[in-house]
Amino acid sequence: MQGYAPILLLVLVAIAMPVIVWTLSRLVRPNVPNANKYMVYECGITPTTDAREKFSVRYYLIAVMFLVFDVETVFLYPWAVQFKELALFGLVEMGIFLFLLLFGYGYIWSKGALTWE
Amino acid sequence: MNGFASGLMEALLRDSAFILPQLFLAGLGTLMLWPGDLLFHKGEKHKWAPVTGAILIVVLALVFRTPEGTGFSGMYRVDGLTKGFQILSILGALGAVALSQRLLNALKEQTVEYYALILFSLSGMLFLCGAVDFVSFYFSLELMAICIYILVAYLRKQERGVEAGLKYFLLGAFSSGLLLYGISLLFAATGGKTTNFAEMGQLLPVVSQSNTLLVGAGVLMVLVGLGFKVAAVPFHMWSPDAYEGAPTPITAFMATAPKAASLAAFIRVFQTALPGVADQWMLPLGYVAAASMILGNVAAIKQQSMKRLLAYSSIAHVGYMLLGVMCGPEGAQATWLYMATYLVMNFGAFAIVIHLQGTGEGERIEDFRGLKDRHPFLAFAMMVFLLSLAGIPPLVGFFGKFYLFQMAVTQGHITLVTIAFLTSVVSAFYYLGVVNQMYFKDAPALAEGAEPEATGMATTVIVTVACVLVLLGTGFAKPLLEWAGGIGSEKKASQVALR
Repeated sequence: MQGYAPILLLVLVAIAMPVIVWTLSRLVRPNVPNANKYMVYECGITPTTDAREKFSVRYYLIAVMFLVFDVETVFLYPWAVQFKELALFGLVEMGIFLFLLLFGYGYIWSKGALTWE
Repeated sequence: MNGFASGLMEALLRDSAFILPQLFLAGLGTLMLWPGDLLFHKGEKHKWAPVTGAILIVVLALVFRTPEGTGFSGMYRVDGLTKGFQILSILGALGAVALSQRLLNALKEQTVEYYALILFSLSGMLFLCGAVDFVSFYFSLELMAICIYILVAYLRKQERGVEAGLKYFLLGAFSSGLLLYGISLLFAATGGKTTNFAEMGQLLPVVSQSNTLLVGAGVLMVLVGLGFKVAAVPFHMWSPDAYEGAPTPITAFMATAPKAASLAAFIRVFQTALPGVADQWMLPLGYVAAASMILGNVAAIKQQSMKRLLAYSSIAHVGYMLLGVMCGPEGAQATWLYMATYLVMNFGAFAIVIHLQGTGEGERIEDFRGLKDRHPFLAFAMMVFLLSLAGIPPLVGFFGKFYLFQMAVTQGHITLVTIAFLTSVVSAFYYLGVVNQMYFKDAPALAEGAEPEATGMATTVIVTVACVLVLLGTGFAKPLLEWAGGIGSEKKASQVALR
């Protein structure tokens, strides 16, 4: 269990950090309560309705698709850096990976998940 | 090209022969979704069923032709155990596709996704049968399970299907977490050196002497996680609900194919990775097996729904099969044999339930009243399957049980075999209850002008084949046993691989 001492240290630091910051700001800041300060923050504009609103599941779909393609670049980047060492093997593996993504993309497209009416 | 990459490339080309069936399944499944889906228009999707059937038969042939050996840096292994259980999984999928047709056509729920999901989950099962490393084991287990979560909730307009799917998903995800935690503890116990089953099998007995708690906790968590997957008591709570809510063909699928693959994994994990620490898991596994037999059979007695009855009976049968897991390498073939006979009886019984369900009955046990007058053949076949499930000689179910119990006795599990024997007698009570309904109770009066519906082709074929196999299967016992003998040789092979 000796190897885990740094992790314990990290946990302690992570706990101590917000505690210190909160106490410090509590001691230093001026305390002027104001009704406006309790409002929901929305880019500085006064909010007009409740924040809990139903919105289309399409946003969710688009977000998931964005995530998929975003993560794809995370995989592509280390491959690009190690391209010379991995040579043909890396190209084949990456080709398989990209083809799978392509098929997934074709599937959601043909299912009409990308149409926005 | 440098040495490192060309070595990897060579290994990839060489080893891909081992996973050819899975590559074929997953590749064609992907192609089916796109662009294959554009091939058949709406209302023609039922044409995917014969395509899927053909794919499954080709995969069955490919499995027979796969060379034996270990590949992918000791992640995947093909041997008798792998092939034997892979064949059972493929047969289960084939049966499920055949039985699905009527229900899906009647509900107008034919989609390409249904078949693609079966193919994907099957490729997970095939991987699981041959996984000899905790990493590949976990990945294939999840591939299998996630596809089945979706299939359980496939009829998404029916509330109880969605409920069953959600329940199954939540408990399945929870058990996966436990399993993964157990694996990580075992990995830590080996000093973070290996996740390979065979290497762990050598390291763990040494480590467990100084680090008993870590190894013990890891082993127990792996046992609990796997127990959830095969629905053994006390980790069975999801199974009756999931079985009842799922579309009935999927229930038949769940009771056979994933169970076969999970049992293969069970045998692999406990006989290759953890045999050296048997004192840690033998007793808990014995309790789990005994509890499954007792609770499965006792709870089945008061069930009103046929699907729930079969669900509890499958819990009990898992208890018997865990007995085989405890018996070492020789137990593997007994387990395989039991699973093979269970697959046949179970599909026969489910084929009949599905047929009756199509006419609006079959869900409740009362619906079987007077079946002998309406469908004499179906009633006879159902009686054969139920008696075989109860293990009455000379049916094939008796043969499977006899062989398994005999194996367990020679291994010294006398108490467990006694419990197994007594609970088999209990099980005869509720199986015979259904037979009683079919033969000695009067049928409810048919509505004016209603004719008992003729059996479809898929049902007739499956019921006939299963019935013949159950009746005459014991005659084929000897060649089957000899063939199954190759399944138990796994231990020798793994030692060769280590050298």
